[in-house]
Amino acid sequence: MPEPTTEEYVPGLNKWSDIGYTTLDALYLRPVRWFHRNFVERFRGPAYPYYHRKFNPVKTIDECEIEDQVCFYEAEMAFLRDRRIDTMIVGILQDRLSRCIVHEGRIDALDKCAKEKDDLFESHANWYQKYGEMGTPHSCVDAYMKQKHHMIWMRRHPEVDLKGWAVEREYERKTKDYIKSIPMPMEFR
Amino acid sequence: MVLFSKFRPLLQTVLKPSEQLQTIAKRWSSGRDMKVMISEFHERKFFDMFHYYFLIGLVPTFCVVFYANVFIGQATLTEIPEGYEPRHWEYYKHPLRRFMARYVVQSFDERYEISLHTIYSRVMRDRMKALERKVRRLEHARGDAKGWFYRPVVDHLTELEQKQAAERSEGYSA
Repeated sequence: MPEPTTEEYVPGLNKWSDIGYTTLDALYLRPVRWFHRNFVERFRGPAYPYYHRKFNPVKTIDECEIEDQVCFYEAEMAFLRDRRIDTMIVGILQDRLSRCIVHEGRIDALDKCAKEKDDLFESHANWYQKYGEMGTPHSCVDAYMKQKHHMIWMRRHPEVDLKGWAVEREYERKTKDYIKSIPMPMEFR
Repeated sequence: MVLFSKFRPLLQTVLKPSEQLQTIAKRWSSGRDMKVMISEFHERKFFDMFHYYFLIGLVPTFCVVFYANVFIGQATLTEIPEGYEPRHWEYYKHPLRRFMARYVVQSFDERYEISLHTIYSRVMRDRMKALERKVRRLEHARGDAKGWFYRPVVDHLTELEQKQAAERSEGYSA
């Protein structure tokens, strides 16, 4: 996984978290680390490699000849692979945002997690534009046609804001104003 | 499962005999109750069989998994060196997964190539059949060639009869 995970626990913030952590530490982490140091690191065999699979570039659906079923299959497989990768990317960005919110807290996240939120919003919009709303099942040909129709539509309607940033910023502003408008002490907001 | 046997004293309260079935003064002295209890045989038998069949699979599996994780360990991600084509099992991390990929399961690339070949051969077969259909259609429509509509049919019974008639006319042997 490309995401970095921090394993360090910071004691002293919360008594109950400390108690829970020390319990889990004594029950699971300490025995496992002891076993790993004394047995696994001593008796483990030599390290050996594994590699990341690389796929050769193939013709996309627009470059295939007519009635070339083999080319269609390869283009379709490449399309599905790329869709899975894009789905994972969106998932990773969503994960980043939720980790940021948990780290900062629900209220500070409105200010500090803006980058993660914008990245997720953009990637979500792009994913939907590329792979969304085509029906199930759909093929690479349907995706290609969607791209074509989208480009035609963009050419015919150049004034329309497709990204939606203005709408997003407006929504954020309204949310913040609403939260601020509720009269509450700071500890509960 | 061990705790099930702790519930036995509760069962004894349910099954106190409310009436004496036999009145033998000698046997029934005061203070001595015959406790009618449920037989333990079925419990013991069930647990024995459960443990036996469960562990028959679990012990070897656990040993194999333990060995693979502790003594062999998982692989480390490295860049593919120049001019080296990794074998298809070297793309997996866990040693048992590598084992399965190497000896048990069909390779990913192999499956892909088989699919491509299947598509190709089907397409070629369909083209050949279409061509034959077209030829027959044209011959039937134009009707300008002779003999192409004749389908040779081998009549075994007639051939046999002819052979036997020839034998009869020549005279029976021996």
